[in-house]
Amino acid sequence: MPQSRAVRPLLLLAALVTGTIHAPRARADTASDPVPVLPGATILSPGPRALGFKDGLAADPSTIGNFRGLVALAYMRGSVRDSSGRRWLMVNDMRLFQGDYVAADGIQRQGTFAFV
Amino acid sequence: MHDFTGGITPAGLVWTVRLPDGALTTPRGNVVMVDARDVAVVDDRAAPAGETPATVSFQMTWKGRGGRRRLAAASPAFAGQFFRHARAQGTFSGAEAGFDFASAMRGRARSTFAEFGTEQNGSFLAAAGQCPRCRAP
Repeated sequence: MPQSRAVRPLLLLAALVTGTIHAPRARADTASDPVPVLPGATILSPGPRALGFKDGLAADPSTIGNFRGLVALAYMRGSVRDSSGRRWLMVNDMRLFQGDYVAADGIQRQGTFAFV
Repeated sequence: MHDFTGGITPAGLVWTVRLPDGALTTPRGNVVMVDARDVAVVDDRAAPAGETPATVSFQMTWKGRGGRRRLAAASPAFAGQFFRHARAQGTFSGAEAGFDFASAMRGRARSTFAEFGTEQNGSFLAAAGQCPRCRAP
């Protein structure tokens, strides 16, 4: 179960409610996929402690282990509308990774990834 | 409530999905843009409870300023050079059976906190430690 998360990806809330974290969903992977930084489906959420991010700024924003390259992270907040015109609050944690990584098979590759 | 995520692999890679390399551009050294279309995700809905296949699209821009600073940690080990100040904004949309959404016409989402830089971890960090000239990511 993911931990250390202040916000969740593309979470749409019709009202300000606290979301619960559900059990991890399995997705097929291949030997060429990246490996995680931390075991146990855990990630870090870097950010200022003053804003409630207990990991602080000196925490790896990458979810990909054995990685070297560009990283961009943003905790986003905005509003969206559905097709009926209903307004939703959107809160999301978006990250980009582009560069070299050593995959599960031990081979170094290049790739572009998004944390969604 | 809707909860769109990229899923978790059996190896434990959390919500991290591959994008086409062309989805990301860096028009300037302090700017990175992403234009991702129809990324396959799942919506873990609260009601009715269950997972629904979905797609999301997003166009985002990060801008860094103020020079770069080194950030590092020992466990898990990483080291990087990140802009002292960064911000991001973007538009989002998504669709699944029976539901879709898009950013409001005048409502670009904005970051409450952002980071932008380069880093290395794991085996690349260990390799850099053995090669001082390679240390900067």
